[in-house]
Amino acid sequence: MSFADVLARARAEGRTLLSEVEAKDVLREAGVPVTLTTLATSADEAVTQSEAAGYPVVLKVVSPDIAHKSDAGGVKLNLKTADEVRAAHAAILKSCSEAVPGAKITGVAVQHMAPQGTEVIVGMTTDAQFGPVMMFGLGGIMVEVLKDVSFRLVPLADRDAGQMIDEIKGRPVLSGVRGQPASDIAALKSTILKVSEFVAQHPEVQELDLNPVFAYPDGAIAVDARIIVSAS
Amino acid sequence: MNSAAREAIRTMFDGVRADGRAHLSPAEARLLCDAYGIPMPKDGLATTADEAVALAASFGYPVVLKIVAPQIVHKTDVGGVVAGLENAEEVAAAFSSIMDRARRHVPDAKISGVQVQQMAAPGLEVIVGAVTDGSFGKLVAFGMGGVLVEVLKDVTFRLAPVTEADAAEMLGSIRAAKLLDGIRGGPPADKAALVSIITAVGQAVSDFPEIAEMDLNPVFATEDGASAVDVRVAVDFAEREMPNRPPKDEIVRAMNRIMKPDAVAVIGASAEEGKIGNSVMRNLINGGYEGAIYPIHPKAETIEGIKAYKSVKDVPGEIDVAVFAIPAAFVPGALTECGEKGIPGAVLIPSGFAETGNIEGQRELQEIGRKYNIRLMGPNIYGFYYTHKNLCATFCTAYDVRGEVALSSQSGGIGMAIVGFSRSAGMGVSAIVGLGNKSDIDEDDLLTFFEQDENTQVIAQHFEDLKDGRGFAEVAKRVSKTKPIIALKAGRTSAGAKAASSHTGALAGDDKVYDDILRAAGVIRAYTLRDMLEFARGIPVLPTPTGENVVIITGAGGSGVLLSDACVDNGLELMKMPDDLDAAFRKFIPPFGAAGNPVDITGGEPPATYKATIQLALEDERIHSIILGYWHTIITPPMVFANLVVEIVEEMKAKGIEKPIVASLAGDVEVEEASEFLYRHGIPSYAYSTEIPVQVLGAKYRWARGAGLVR
Repeated sequence: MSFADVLARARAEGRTLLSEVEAKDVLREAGVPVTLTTLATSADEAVTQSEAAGYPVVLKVVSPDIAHKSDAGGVKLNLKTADEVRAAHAAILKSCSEAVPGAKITGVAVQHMAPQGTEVIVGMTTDAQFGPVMMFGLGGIMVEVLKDVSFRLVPLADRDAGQMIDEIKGRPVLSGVRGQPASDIAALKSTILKVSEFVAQHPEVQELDLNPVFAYPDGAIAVDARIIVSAS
Repeated sequence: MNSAAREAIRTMFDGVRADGRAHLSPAEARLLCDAYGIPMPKDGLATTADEAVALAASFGYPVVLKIVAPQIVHKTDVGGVVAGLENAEEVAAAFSSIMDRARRHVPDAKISGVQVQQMAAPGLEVIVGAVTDGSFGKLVAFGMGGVLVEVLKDVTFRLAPVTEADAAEMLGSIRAAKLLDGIRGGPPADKAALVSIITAVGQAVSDFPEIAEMDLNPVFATEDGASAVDVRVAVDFAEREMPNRPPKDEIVRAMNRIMKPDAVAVIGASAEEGKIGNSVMRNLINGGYEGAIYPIHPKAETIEGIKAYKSVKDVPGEIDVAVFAIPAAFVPGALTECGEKGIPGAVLIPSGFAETGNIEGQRELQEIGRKYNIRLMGPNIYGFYYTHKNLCATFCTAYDVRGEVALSSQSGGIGMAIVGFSRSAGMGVSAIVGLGNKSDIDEDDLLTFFEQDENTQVIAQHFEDLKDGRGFAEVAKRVSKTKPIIALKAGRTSAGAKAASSHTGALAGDDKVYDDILRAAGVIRAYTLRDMLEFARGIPVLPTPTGENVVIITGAGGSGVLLSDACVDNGLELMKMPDDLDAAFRKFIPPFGAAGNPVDITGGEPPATYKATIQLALEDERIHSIILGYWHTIITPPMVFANLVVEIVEEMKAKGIEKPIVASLAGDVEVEEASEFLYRHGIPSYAYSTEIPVQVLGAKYRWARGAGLVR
């Protein structure tokens, strides 16, 4: 589905938050590496899609009313068999409807569980004074607390992406410390630039979060994506 | 710990020493942890895969396997750690792969086997450690764990041993402290368990000083408990030279004679203008020193009209201090004569000792000093001033503005900057002292003297290093309760350059140690020379605040915003204005002005508005400190403002109301005169700066909080 279609559907439904499946669709179309995610509306579909994606898989709730999926018990990781997928599907529906009573649950997103890489965040927010700005930082709780991030105005020039990566205090982590492999900086730069291009082309995007992006010695991939668009 | 446990640890260390090893084995580290009540997961050493499986089965899965080889310190770097093993097959496979990798990466490693360890319940990863610092001795460290925080160096240090209160304070002083309260609604970490581990580590390194470094990394803290998953202990059995710490009353007795002498000898006194021995003579005489002056010269009959002697031994009366102005080569001989004469202090101006590599020469002076019990100031210094005795025992310019600030510097250039600034600002000084090479008298001797010196209320010290940081911290902690101490520590990046083998050691290799220890001792740290001087000038002028509520009253909205920012930067709390007080301020200000805090009285207001709002802020007991922002207008010119402020402050003082007030003046050059006038009347004021006045107030608060004077 194209961005225009996704946007039209969201607006028709009075939504500003795109679903994870929608967000990943439009990002993939824009050349941003994202894990393949499909929408299952039943336990059977979830099993079929899991087998297609390859185990282990992750199941996540898809609901316009639930912004923080893990807090609502809407995320199940590392599912290795059809039985585990069925059990997880049921558990997600149960805990989400308990956590957010009356939430509209569109379905459950199924994706292959990407191997753990170095966690980074690539994001975009709309500043009241500056308009769209890109953000980069290392992922995980620590950085959420320490706020170790860098910002640039959209659109980015090539060297901006490299500078954003180099400016964070935790930069040595990406070079590999204490036995961990170095991350693919070129792949991270390219991800940042593609996202910048995408938001520059689509001024309707108000906020965007790729959190986490897994960086590997060879490549990088966004495991979760969140996009908020303007209401009209 | 009971004596049997202590004896067991003692025996263990003796064994390590006999083996000539630099690290404890995992089993030895466990013995130490057990003795100090530091919880660790169960573990054991396996030399075969079968043994590993048997151990794992006895602990329960999951387990982690780690290589054990004295040569392999960073185990993960060689693939020597495999975690999350769930069953016998996985354990057996991990055992052989670890052994293979270790043999491949470190072919000459002597592999003792593989440690099988029960996997701790995952929790928040933190580091607890200890390190031996050349100046501060044993330090305890606490920080967040994980690769990322290692890179960000989010860690805090205290002198060992630490009390439970110190340890609890450490938990709160790292940047990521709020992680301990729970992550994203998760349960909080068991702080009591962490406090107990931190105090245990502090006790262990204090009881057994051969522990050079200790690393508990990671420690997993869960909701109910904490457990040290990996413990590394480095030992060093070399005897450490104990710093010379004379008893307090001995320091005071000698320092009082040196700093407030009744008789001064000048060794190398000279009649020849331009010589150091001549400058010292002239400064003593022209400075107005009223005690006896004894010039010492091999041939002269008199110098500058005063009878000279060939040796201090020829002087008939007692001498309290000898000032040296002779070349380095002659110093030992003359110093020995001072010893024979029973002079308690020597001011060693000459250079040519440790600073030029002549370490032996300096050691010789120290030996003579110890033999005859002479306290040595310097060598390689400008001398010192003690204004309340009109004493200028220096070759620099004479100084005569008496006051209650005592300053010292390690370097001569900084000493001259102190003299110039003090004169220019009209800052009253009790003493200015050069410490130079610090062969004997150092910062804590001065603190001990100034503590009991009735003429000194504030102490400011510049130094590049502390020879005995622990001694300094202990004295400073006591003195700072009554007299503010300001420290300018230079060389912030070069400290602790030695290669460290532990994580804690590597983290300690920067300025953070000084920062933490000075703060814990109640010392106000200045980061620039100008800050030190401004703090020294402002702190004694300001009354001590009794509470945290700061109010800004400003005629310029722009200054109000900058002053508010400066409050945040300097840890000051802008008072949340209560409704009744807000209404009371509003009565005096135009309708378009803004009450709240800052109180913006707007620019075009007459003197009466400033006066009424300042009076209200002084009178209301809920307000503890006031920051004024002035804007130069025709209606209220600078000197009119300055006069009205002084008037209202004095009026209130007569009623017994005194609060710290600082001011920032914006305007044309007339505001410089107004600022000076205000400063001389007890209100630290600065033209064209919204930062410095707030920094000065912030420094006063830091001291007052440390001394327990702020509610």
